[in-house]
Amino acid sequence: MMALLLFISFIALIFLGVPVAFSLGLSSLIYLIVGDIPLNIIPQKMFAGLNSFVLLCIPGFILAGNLMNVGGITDRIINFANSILGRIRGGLGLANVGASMGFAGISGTALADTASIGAILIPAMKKEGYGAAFSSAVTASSSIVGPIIPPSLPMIIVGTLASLSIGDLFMAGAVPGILIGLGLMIPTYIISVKRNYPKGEKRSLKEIWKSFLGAFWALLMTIIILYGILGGLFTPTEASVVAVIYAFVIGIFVYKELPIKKIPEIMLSTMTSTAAIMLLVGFANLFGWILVSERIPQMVADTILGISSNPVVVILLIIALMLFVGTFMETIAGLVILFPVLLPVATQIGMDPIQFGVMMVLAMVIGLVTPPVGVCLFVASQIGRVTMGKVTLELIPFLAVMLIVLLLVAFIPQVTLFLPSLFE
Amino acid sequence: MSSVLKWLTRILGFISVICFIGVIVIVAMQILSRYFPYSYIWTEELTRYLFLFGIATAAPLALLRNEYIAVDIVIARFPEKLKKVFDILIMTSLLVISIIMIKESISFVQIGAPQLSATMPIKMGWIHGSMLIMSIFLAFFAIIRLGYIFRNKKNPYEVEGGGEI
Repeated sequence: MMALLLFISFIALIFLGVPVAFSLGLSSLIYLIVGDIPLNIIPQKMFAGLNSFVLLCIPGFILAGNLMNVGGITDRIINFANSILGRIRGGLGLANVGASMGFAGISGTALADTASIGAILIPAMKKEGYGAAFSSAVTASSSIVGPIIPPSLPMIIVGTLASLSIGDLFMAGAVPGILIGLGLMIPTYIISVKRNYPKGEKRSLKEIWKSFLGAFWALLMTIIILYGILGGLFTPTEASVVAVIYAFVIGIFVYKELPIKKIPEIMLSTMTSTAAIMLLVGFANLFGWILVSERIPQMVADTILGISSNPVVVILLIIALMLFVGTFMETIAGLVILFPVLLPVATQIGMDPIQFGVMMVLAMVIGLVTPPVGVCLFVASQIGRVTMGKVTLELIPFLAVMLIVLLLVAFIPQVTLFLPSLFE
Repeated sequence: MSSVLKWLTRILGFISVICFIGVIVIVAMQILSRYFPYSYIWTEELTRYLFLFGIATAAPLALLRNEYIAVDIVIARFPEKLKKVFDILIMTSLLVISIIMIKESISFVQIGAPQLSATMPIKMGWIHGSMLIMSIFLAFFAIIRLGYIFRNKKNPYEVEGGGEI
């Protein structure tokens, strides 16, 4: 009964427009007051949630991505992708997807990808004769590889919630991320051929080599992060700091484009973005404590396993739930509430927590490109100056690709677990 | 008033950025120390605490800058007047929870007062104070934003996007 009050007040607050972090806090507060539980648990649980060395890597990775972006890396990644893929029909569309994959290696989020690559490529695609809705759809859908290809902010959160190895989670996301990227190129190509979208000029090997050298430093950063964490050279938090220093050095000494005067403001906005996530994590820690004390995870596990004990059905049920929640709930919030609740179900049907973590993250980030509240869809439509409805129609084949990869992740453990197993 | 607010945001922002720089420098030291004969046991703990204060000062700024993600599909369809009523209710509820957090954080600071940190000569009460600082400024900025709503004034600190990843 009390648990019902918690959920109903939480959902009501969300739909009344209360920020998600505070909806968690306020619904927990209502629960504590009605249950006559001392309120001093609030700062205690928040403090415990925030006082974590692992979560420290969040601002590090955000800052490294921001520094690389303003330091001129985006243009170079796009240029490199275009020099390889541009010659094919629909080349600029394919380069858009390729650039997202490159960008994903320095950024742990999807929105940064949509905004940075979209700002350059959507106008360029429109100018070459691609449909505005198609250009926005390619940009939005390809950006979801951002939080799948390492580094990834949602994976850090999942790893922290369930004490899983961040390095393993990062590595487990690599293959699904590459599969999504390559998969998205298929509808991009087919549609481009059908609509006779243009192809770019063929570039000489010398030009390709030159553009590769431009993007090389960004690609190297991904390798340093992964090799450092998996090779045991440093922890994820240390890796994020290495990434910051690396991005700073490359921006100042190699690309020479990093505007020093802007750095304090970039650092501040990194901290406020991080704080907005951390307050969510803090309140979620309180909310999660209530869930556990009400035995909700076990209850959910019993309910789902009561419907069916067939692992295939159970996994499909979880995927359906996550996709549904993902359409209206912010990624991190959805993960902090549902991951600990659903993990016991997954382990009971014998699923590896790492595989389950990647599946949950992927199911949630698909919501970033679906209506009604997909932010990447929203931002890409804005840049393309086209309605969300039109972009959504164009998105359908791309969403199909994502769902296929999601099912591969869910049902073929090797897709996620093969790479991490190499480092054991 | 607006110049006081401006300075306050600058001071909080400055503290937050300094804490962040501190984190970067100390973690870098921690990595380097592996290649040198001396090592530091306090680095991990100090970085966590700096991060806490960095967040405690940035979280209220994020409120002022409207960086907390909300689902506004329902209230976006409301007429202007009703929307204003909801904005007032939302900000008031944020104010209420912040005030409760101030009260509870004070006792949390008192709990930590006699305890000593694990690796440094610092009383945990000071560290617990991060929650108090955060709550006080969350409440303060909720009041500021209520002021903007009541006076039909656009919040000049608001940024687009942010927060959502």
